[in-house]
Amino acid sequence: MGCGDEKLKAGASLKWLGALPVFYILVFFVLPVAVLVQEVFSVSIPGRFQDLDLWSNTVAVAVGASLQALLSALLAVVVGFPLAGLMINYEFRFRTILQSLIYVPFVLPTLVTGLAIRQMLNGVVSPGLVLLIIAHAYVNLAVIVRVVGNAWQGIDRRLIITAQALGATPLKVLSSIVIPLIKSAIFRAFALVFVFSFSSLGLVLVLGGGQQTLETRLLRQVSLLLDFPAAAVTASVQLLLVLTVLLLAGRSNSRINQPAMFAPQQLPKSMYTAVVVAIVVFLAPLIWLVNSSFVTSQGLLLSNWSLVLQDFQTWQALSNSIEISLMTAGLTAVVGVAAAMTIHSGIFGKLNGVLVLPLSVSSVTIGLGLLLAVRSREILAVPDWLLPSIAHSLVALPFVTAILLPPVRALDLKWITAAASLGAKPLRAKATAIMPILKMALPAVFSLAVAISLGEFGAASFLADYDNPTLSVLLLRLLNRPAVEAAGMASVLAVILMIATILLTVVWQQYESAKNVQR
Amino acid sequence: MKRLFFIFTLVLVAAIVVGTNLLSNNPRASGTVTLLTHDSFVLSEQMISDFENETGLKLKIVSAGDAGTVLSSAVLSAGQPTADVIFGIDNTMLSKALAGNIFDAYTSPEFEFLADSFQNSFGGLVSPIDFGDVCINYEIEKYGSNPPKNLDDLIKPAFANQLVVSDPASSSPGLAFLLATIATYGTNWADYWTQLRANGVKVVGSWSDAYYVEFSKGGGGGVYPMVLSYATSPAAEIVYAEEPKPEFASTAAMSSGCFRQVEYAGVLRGAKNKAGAELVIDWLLSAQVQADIPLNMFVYPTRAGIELPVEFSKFAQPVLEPLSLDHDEIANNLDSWLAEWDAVMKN
Repeated sequence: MGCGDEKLKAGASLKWLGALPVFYILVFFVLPVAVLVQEVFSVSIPGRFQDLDLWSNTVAVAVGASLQALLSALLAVVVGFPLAGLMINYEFRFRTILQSLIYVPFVLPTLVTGLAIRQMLNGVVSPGLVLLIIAHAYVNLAVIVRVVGNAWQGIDRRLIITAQALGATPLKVLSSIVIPLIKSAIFRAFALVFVFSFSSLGLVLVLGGGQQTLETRLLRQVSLLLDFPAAAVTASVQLLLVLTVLLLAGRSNSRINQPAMFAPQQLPKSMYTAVVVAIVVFLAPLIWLVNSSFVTSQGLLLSNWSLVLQDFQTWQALSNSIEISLMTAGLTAVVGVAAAMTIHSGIFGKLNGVLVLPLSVSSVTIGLGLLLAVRSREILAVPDWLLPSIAHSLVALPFVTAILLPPVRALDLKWITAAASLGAKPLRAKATAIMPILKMALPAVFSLAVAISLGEFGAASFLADYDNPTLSVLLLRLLNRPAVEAAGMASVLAVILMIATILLTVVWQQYESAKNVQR
Repeated sequence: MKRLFFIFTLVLVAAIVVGTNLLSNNPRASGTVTLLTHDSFVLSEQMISDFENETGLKLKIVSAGDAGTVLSSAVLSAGQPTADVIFGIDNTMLSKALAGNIFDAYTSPEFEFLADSFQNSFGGLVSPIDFGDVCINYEIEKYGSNPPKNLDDLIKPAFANQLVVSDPASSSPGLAFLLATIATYGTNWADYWTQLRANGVKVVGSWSDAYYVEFSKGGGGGVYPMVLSYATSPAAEIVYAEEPKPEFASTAAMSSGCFRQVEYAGVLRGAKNKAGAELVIDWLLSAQVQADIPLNMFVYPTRAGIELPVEFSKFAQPVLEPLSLDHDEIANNLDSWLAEWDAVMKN
């Protein structure tokens, strides 16, 4: 399919590029986990690991959780695919707002989204498998839209136009052209949602109605029973299963795509209802949380807002969240670009598998590992303020790399050859060609990395300076206080978090669509 | 227009970040002592700056999530701790903490001022800092002159389908309630839970779910007038209310069937700043900090003679005969108790 079939020549300049992501994962993930494993062994009775009952119980829980995750991912793809199509192919008035709103359930701490959904559907759907699947699909739609959407955007429009000129119906266009070309992206998105639903904790606790996952089991073993060997068994089963899923997903090679050369068409009037429905669905938690931010034991008042906004700690937490998420985005972008280029150039194709390792492991494990490596054994000399960003970037890396791969693959090598023939040195030639492509993809990279970082509270509560919590951690501390106003104040923080997310993503959408139009 | 919006947002974000950094107070002191605690730890800023001024040390507080995960991280790093002093080990975890050999013995000069019932330091290894009671809370208006009075009431038909509790495996008060039933009914505790289940008790995953979603006075439109919470929850309701404060709380707590939770602090073995750690223990036991604890963490001080805030004396439920279990018994049986609870409640 055009010049994209050639791989970039593996020059010396690219070899060291590949070292960066590998080094990053080795130092900030493998090493801490190794330290943790060693400590676990040193405090455990050896015989415990050979307990067959323990293993079979763990596997049984894993099977149940897999089923739940499978159904969640299926629902997410079924709903997310048309949504992605809508966002990519059409232009309509509220497009930018809807694009940002899709991120909202994804960014909010899962405990908050879970509680909002519980309250909204209290009496309608009770906690259990069905509610959990719906919630998982809802929260992860952003993943589908992003990953599938980006790939869809890379399809050569000429194929579609030609097919339509030959009389193909929209359905035929979808099934013969679109889906085959992006099916690996669909599968990858499916796998990611599977992993998220499998490893989910907050939503399971609030909406699961007693469903057990390996994550809840791990929490119980680490946080209650202090049964470290059992925790190690749970973590191992989790790692094996999730890693297998992600590696299978990464295997499928996508066809090389041409960069998009089209302007989205105006939305036909008949589809307006779909847009309105989508907006309402994504706006619902926002509205609900805004409403509950006014709830006090004496009825609806502004008091929660005045309490929170007058508290200096709120502003500090907001500032801290922004700083951490921007640092996360920076780290992830640099390492992600290096990773994407390395994977595409074929030097280290398996890098994809290495990058998803952190996703296969619970944030508790990463958090404990980093804590031990940095503060206890002092093997790693990392400044404290950088730790949360590092933990977040480990989670964001695989996504960011997935977003960067299509543009890297679509690299028009004629630019490089042209630049080289004009006398530019190889590195300069590649840089000149790469920059426009990356400029196009970086807004998406930044917005996703910031989104992941803003809502994360597991690693953040572990690693951030206690006196200087992030917004999410502050929010969760409030939820532990037994008073209606505390929940109201937590809702205020959730609304602030949402506004921050929407602002940031709207900014980047503007930048992105501006760049698209220019091309 | 888009450009303007972009610049505006950039300026706003920069203002927030720079402004808060300029306005926040970072005292520079010569040494640092690090306190490891859970994410429910709260004290007034004044207490912390008093400590720093009096000792010349910077108090750095680190957390590792909830109390159990904090203890896990301490056990895994025993001898090479990530902090100097730890606070927040409660009686359900104490046995594991002691078995994990994470403490260095230290008896504070303030220890003798603790109330008689708290004079046990388990060989000088830990100091009890605060205590609280987990009790069934209920909506006053709903029950009028016939509120639930003890655990036996909860299985009576008159109180059917009115109670929501949280899962002992994922919620600290949930666990306390399970232990309360074990302390009350001994080996027949599983029968009690069978009857509770038959009487329509609702079990949810977390305390916040139970309180904020299911409880009728939790603001979430819930329909359950009884919820598992703390003896001080009615006081918290008043404390957080906006002025003018209501004269009466809308919720109250049962005085019977309450399980006592005691929180301990201890110097970590191998701490870099052992002297500093000891000063922190003295500070936690001091009269000023003990008096500061109630309105911040909604638990009671262990020191004798501390004056309680008026909201506590008016609205919190005093528990005269709290239930408790031996900490070793808890540690040895927790796994099988939880498994049995699962078997009774989740089929």
